Amino acid sequence: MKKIILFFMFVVGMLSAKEYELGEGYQLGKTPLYVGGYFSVDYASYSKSDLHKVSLNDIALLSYGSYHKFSYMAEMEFKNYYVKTYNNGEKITTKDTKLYAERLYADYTANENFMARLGKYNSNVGYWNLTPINVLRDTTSSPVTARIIFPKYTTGIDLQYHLFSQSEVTFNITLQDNNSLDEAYNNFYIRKHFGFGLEYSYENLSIKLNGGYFHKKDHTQAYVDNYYGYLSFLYNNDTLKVMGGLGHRDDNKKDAVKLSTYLQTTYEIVSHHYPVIRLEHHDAQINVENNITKDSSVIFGYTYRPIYPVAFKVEYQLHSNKELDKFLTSFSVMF
Amino acid sequence: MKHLLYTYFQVSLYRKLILAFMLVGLLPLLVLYFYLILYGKDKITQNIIAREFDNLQTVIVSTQNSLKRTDKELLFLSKLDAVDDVIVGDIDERLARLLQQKKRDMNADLEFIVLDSALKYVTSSSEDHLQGGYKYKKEFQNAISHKKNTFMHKRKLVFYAKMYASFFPNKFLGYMLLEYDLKNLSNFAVQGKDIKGYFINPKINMIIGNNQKITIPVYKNRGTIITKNNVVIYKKLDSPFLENWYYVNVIKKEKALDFLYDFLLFMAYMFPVAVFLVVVVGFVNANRIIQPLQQLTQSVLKIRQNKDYKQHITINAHDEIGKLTDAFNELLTTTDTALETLEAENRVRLKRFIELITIFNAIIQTKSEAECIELSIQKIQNLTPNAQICFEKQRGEGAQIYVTNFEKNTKEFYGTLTFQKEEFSENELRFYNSIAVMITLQLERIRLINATMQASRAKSAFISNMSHELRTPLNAIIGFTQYLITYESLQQEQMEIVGNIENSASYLLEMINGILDIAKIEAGKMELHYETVDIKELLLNVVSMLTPLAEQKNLTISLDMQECKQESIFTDPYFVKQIIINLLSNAIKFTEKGSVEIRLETLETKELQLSISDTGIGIEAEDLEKLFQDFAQLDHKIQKKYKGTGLGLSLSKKLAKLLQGDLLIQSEGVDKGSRAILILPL
Amino acid sequence: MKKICLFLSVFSLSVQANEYVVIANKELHINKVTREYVKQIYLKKHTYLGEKQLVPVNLSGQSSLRDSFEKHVLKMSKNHLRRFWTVEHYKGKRPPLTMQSANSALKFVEKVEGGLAYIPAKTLPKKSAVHVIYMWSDK
Repeated sequence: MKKIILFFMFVVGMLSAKEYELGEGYQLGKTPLYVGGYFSVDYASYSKSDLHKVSLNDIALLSYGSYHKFSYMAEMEFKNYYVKTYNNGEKITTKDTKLYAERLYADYTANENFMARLGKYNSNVGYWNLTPINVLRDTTSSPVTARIIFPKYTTGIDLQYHLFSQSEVTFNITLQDNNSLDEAYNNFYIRKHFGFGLEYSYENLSIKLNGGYFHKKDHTQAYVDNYYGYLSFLYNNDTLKVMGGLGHRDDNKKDAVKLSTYLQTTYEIVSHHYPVIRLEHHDAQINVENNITKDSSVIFGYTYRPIYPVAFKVEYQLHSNKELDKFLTSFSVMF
Repeated sequence: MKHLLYTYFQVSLYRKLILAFMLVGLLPLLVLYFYLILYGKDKITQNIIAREFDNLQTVIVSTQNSLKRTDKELLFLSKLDAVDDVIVGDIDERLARLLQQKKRDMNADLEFIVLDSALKYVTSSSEDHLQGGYKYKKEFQNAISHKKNTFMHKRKLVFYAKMYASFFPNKFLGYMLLEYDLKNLSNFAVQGKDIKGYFINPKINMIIGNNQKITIPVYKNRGTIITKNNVVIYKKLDSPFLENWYYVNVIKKEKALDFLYDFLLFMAYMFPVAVFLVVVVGFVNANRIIQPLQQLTQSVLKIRQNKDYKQHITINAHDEIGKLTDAFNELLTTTDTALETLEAENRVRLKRFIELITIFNAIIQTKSEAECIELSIQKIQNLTPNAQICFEKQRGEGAQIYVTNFEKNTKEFYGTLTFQKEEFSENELRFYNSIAVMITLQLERIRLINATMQASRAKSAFISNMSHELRTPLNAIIGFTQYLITYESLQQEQMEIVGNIENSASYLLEMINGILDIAKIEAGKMELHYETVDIKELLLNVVSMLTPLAEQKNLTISLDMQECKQESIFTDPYFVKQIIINLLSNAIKFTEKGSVEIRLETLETKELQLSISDTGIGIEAEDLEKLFQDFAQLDHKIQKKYKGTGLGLSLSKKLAKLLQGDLLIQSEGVDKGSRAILILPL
Repeated sequence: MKKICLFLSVFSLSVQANEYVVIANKELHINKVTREYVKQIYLKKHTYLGEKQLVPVNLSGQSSLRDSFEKHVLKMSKNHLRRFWTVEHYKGKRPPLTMQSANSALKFVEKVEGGLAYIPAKTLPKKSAVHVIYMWSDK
């Protein structure tokens, strides 16, 4: 806790000097070093059961920079730094004061077309996964898709090929054939990941197709082959943002996701205010939440951003399985 | 003198203690005081200097840190994205504004200068619009080529850093300089009333912080110079930015020594106080230590005086003196016990002694040898019931008894006293031996008594027999001769012969009487009959008896009894008479002419003195000695005339002695008369 | 290339007050480009041209020119751009450099290999060492 306060004081101190804008990081002494960070505080309350949860999580510090054709990113994060769960009058407090390497990679940009990335990075699948943190997403919660289809983090090599014309086409291949780095908060424990992605964007619309194979540890601690396919899109203009995804995962054994999909719309009705609606559906053989494998839900959210990098969010989820109904609220900041 | 002093302390522990306390307390004080006075000044000065060096160091460190920070600031500035504006010559003056802001923030006398790669002015924090090539291009280039961090120009220290484009790290844009006026350093230097700090560079002869020119000879990295008024300390700055620079502090000497003088004054006040304290503490403690000893001494003396060894001393001390007291008490107890034991032993010994005496007493009473032995054995047996004691005539184990045979003068074995006891201690043996000796003595005594009694009886028998045997015939002879003279008609010749016979017989009878008397006296058989005697009457009696004899010779007899206060004396009249008769008759006999004076007086010594002085032939001095010998007759013609037996004086003296008196004869010499003095006790 | 220069130079004579151009450094051998291309450059999706690194320069946030640029060329609102760059910051990308004025932007482009900027057309000197690669105007 003290570290965090110090950290913030340090940051606030740094803000004094030059013209600085929140959300754009800060340059440290040497050129190829910018720092930034973010944090968020959530509160979740389940309607049907007497379960509340307050958590201070995602306290992170980024540092990145570039030097000629190289650039790097290092993100260190406290996850679930402080979580207090109230369950039927019982209070459980957990703390995780371990600092995790959330992302740690280096990029090499050979030329305008070709880039290679090495390290631990957000898997280049879909759009939600590229900006998974609270402050950058529109709702406190993430769609189920984001965590049941593909591994969120990959520790390996990612190769990208861009083609620029009227539109943009990007093709990427991701390769992992080793153990993951700091995989405690990865959604799957993976030892291999071979994936590809194909993206097409024009103007404000981008569409992406991903597919891949990964080796995942199941509940029996054995590694199992998994195959996934994912289709997603993102439409982003000045006031409206629509995104959606659809995925399927298959393994040769029991676990599988028949279908998982979401569709989310965010609209800036008034400056700084963003109501959100999301529809989700998933049908899986795995336990998604609370031993439920099949569920549909509609989520109503509302976000207030006095400035973009600061977000106050509230959200209410209605599920076909009533016990999953919940209320969420959070506060997050990026600097 | 030394001896006196030594003795003074030797006799008293108290004095020693006092001395010790004084020494222990005062010596260090004195040493300290003198040390402080003698060395204090320098030491304190050294201390001040050491402290000042610390202060110096603090200033130096903060100066160096400040310079480092300045350098860092410059470095940081040079790496900002903003330097990209150098490319565009800072047309928008963004960089200028930034530098100005920074200059204001740093609040010091400095100037930021931005030069392009050709060392031309791009922009600066200065109000002036600088153009063209850099003013101190030469020095700058020199510094760059020598790879130095900074360079000096006049009173400015110039820091510099390279600038690169943010988007092209390789693209060299130029230099950012910081011209730092060394005036700023004077902010770090200490300025006070008594202390002044300066930065100096002796090489280029620059001084910061002082307007005057002062020469401080600096040779080493750090040093101290003590002048008459000041203490100067200096230290070289160890900074990469300031080479050959020194920081100097000049401190007024009084300030440093101020403390010392205060301290000395304080010491001066404290010294008598401390001395006083030491003395008081010394005395008090010495007293406290000595007091139990004194108490002990007094108690001991008292005990010795009272001779009460049962009494124990109580001292309120638990230290060595307490232990001494305890030891002494133990000694008292031991003494007391010893004395009691001694007394007991004495009593025992006395008892034993008395027993022994009693035994001896009993033994001595015995009259016969057999009784002696029997009683002895009985008594010893009483004493030692454990032992079986008996007497044997033959030799055996035990105490041998040897009895002296006085006639043969030898020791004859008598017998053995045997003790049948298991063991004898030495004392017991001695005891029994003494008993044996006593028995021996008693036996001898018994024998002696028997022998003496036998002898005495023999003597008495002899004397009485002799007396009778001798006198009877002589009386017969005298009687017959007298008869013949008286009643028979004898012829003249016959009458002479018978007369001679009578004279000789009478003379013989007198002699025999005399001898028998002497013998009796010597045998101790002479019996005195004391009675109350009127001495004057007796004397008159004798005088009248002998007056005719004196008249015959025409001698006058005078009698002086005035000085005699005695009416009577207690004595034997027969023998007194005999003595007086002898003396008077001698006086008359040995005086041809003149007088005989008789004087009777009582002496102060409670004696009666009868002195008969005559004017006779006197006696020579050497003859006086012989007078009282038996049968002594002086060779004199009168003597020849008056033949005496020669026993008279001897017998008289012996009788006088028997009567507890004495007889003396005095004479001046021949023909000077003589005097006989008879002394009798009252 | 020459044609463009000619065209531009003629064009510049009759330029209206609100004509703007996007200029590029001489060394960047690019012809007239599309709006999307400029947008891609300015959104830092395009960072290299061949081997040369592209260095786009924005004008300062208060500039009306910038507003015009964002409106007509990027076609993104300030908010949108803000969002975009916050996300890019998360991804480890920095927004373009900013220059205070058109003059400095021009100078920058002249001096820096790979430099790009947008300036009012009238600011462009006759004999300029920069290419114009795009034009737009407020209407």
